Amino acid sequence: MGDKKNIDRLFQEQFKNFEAVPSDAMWAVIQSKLDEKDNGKKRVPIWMLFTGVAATVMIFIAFSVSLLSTNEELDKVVVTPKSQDLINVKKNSPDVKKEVLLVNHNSEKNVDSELKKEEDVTTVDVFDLNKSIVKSVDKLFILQDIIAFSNVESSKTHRGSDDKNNEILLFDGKSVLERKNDLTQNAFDEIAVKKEIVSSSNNKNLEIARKKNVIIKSNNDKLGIENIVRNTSKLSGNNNSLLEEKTNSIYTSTIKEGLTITNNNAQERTFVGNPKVKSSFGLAKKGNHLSDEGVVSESEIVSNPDNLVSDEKNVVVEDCIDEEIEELTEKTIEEAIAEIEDEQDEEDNNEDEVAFNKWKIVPNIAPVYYNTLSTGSPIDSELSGNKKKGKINMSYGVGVGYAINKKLTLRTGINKVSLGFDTEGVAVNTNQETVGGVRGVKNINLSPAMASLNIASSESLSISQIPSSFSSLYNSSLNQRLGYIEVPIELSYKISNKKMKIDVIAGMSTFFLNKNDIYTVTNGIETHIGGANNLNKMSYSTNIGLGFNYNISKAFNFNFEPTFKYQLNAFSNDSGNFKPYILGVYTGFSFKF
Amino acid sequence: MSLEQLIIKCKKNNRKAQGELYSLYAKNLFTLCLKYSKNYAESEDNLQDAFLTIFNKIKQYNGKGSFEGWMKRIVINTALQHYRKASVLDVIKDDDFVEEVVEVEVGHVPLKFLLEIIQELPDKYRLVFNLYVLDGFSHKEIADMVNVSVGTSKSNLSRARNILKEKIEENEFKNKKTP
Repeated sequence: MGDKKNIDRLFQEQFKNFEAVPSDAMWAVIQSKLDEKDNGKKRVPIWMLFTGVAATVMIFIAFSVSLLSTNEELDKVVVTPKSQDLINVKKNSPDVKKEVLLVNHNSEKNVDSELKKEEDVTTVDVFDLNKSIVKSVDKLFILQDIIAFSNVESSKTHRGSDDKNNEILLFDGKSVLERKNDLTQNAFDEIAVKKEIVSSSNNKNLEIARKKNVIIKSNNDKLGIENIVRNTSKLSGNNNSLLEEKTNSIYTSTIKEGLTITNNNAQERTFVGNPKVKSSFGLAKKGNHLSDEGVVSESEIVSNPDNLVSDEKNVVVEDCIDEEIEELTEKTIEEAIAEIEDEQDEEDNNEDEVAFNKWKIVPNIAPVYYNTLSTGSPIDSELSGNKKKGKINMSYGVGVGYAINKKLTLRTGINKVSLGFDTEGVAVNTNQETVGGVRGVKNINLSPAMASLNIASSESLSISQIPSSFSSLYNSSLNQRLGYIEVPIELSYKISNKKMKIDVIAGMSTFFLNKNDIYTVTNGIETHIGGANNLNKMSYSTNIGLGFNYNISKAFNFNFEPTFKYQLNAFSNDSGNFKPYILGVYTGFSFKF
Repeated sequence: MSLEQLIIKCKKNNRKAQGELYSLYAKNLFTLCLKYSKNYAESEDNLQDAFLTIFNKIKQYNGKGSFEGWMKRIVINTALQHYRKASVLDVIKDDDFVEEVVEVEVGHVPLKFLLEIIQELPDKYRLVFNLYVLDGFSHKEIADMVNVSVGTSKSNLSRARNILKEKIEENEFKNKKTP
């Protein structure tokens, strides 16, 4: 028989020296779990580094591509059929010189040597002019002749003469046309002519050239003139009979449609020294009613070449007979220049439109709804069964889009996102006299003032179990508020390209946590109790959405993008089975540039 | 290495220091787990969870108060977590309960037996009995820890004592019969 013993004491005495040893494997298990967690933590900075580098590289590539493609576009636009020849000629003037020679089937031996001596763009210019004029002819079928006066020194006029230094070369545009089958007829010929006029007149007597829409270039080099002379000499030779028949009419048309003699050095002298040329110039202005006087005056030029600048071989007269150009000749210089400039501006604008529409900037604002796909709780597993209520908050930011091609756009940006949700049916106990330190709420770092707070799910307590002192607090809710800086990287694919454009958007976002608060809400009173300790500072989401873009103007679009973002790792492992998502309707105006 | 140094190293997530800390306190804390759990397996689970919590939260330990006490509370809390979901405690009005001294007439009772009958107690009684009798928490503290009233705590304790007493006496009776 033993003594009567207080049962409490019995246990206390017995357990006083009680020690039990856990199994040997215990530490190994704990260690492996700690390792798991550590690895999980370490992964984040690597990801961060990776995404940071990836984003930088992507932006760099996007910029490079855009710059390159912009240049390409510009080139493409500039090098249109109407002006391609001009560009090519300018880029490759030495080659073009040869080309010129080829075109001019009857190039003479000494031309080569002269070409070698002269590395002058003039040849090119002459070639340009030739081509442009021929094009003009091609379109309008009006061009009659190009007359080149060469070797005025000889002071004689010959028709179809073999003497290169003493000749009037008649250039039958139609013949040229026949020989240049590859030249296309197109509506831009006139513009091309004008552009070439402008281009080739850069350092020349621009005013005169524009005034008459006839360009004569020699840049004070004999080569260019001789070249064109030779270009044409064969033609003229081939068409001697035609030339003979048409001599008068050619002269007539020359005067009628305008005669410009340009030569940097010789030109003015030509005009000065040859009043008859001036007079023919004046006649041209008068329009179509060419009198015999015009013919006579031109005849005088022809028959009395001494009146021309006698020291210069290189006088080129090119004639464009073009009714439209004729009209232009009657316009003022200013009008003509303005028109040309307008056209150029227009083209520039077109270039701009093609080249720079790839980028767009999209400031946006969105109501965002935050909720969970499952019943878990990020706050405490005890609350996993409690009702969660998503909150609608705001997201705002700015996005940048780069159109990879017509359908595919790469987008990124930066958004400030506020999120929140309520966990309802929470019993909150704020008794200050409880033992400090560890509390029942697993995933909250309680603020110092709330250090003694304890939270339980009131759903796990039946009403009868709730003490009176507790009842006022048993039906509180927990309001978790999160803030993130979001950096999305998305691709949008256009599925409809009408006035209302529709895109499918997919991508991912990186979220950087910048706000983490938990409040209790009891009878409408909010109390800040701390922050979650299981929120990852950096997390990711997968995004999918539909974009509706309405064109207000070419540059401005109205965007409406319902987007679903599924958060992948917002909470660290001990979050219960909480699977948060964000539903946002991103709205804004985008500006393309 | 002093305990302070060990704690500092543990705060830096030094695995070796964590191992040392474990071997220092594993026995002690495992005993606690055994008392609060239904069986050996659950005790081990609790010990494991408790140590993970200790290492995760050791940065929050500010050096005030006993480190062992801090760890014990984590162990107890870990054990309590399991029972929070269920309504483990009877809720009784304070007035319903009159505290009594329970005495039992026994000779030597082996520790193993005592542990067994504690583990066999319904959760709600086991928790309160452990907290109050073996770990020295007041009813007020217990009430706060498990979200019940003081009266409920007292009532549960009383019920626990009586169950234990019955079991001990039953055991004594058996032993007498079959000496």
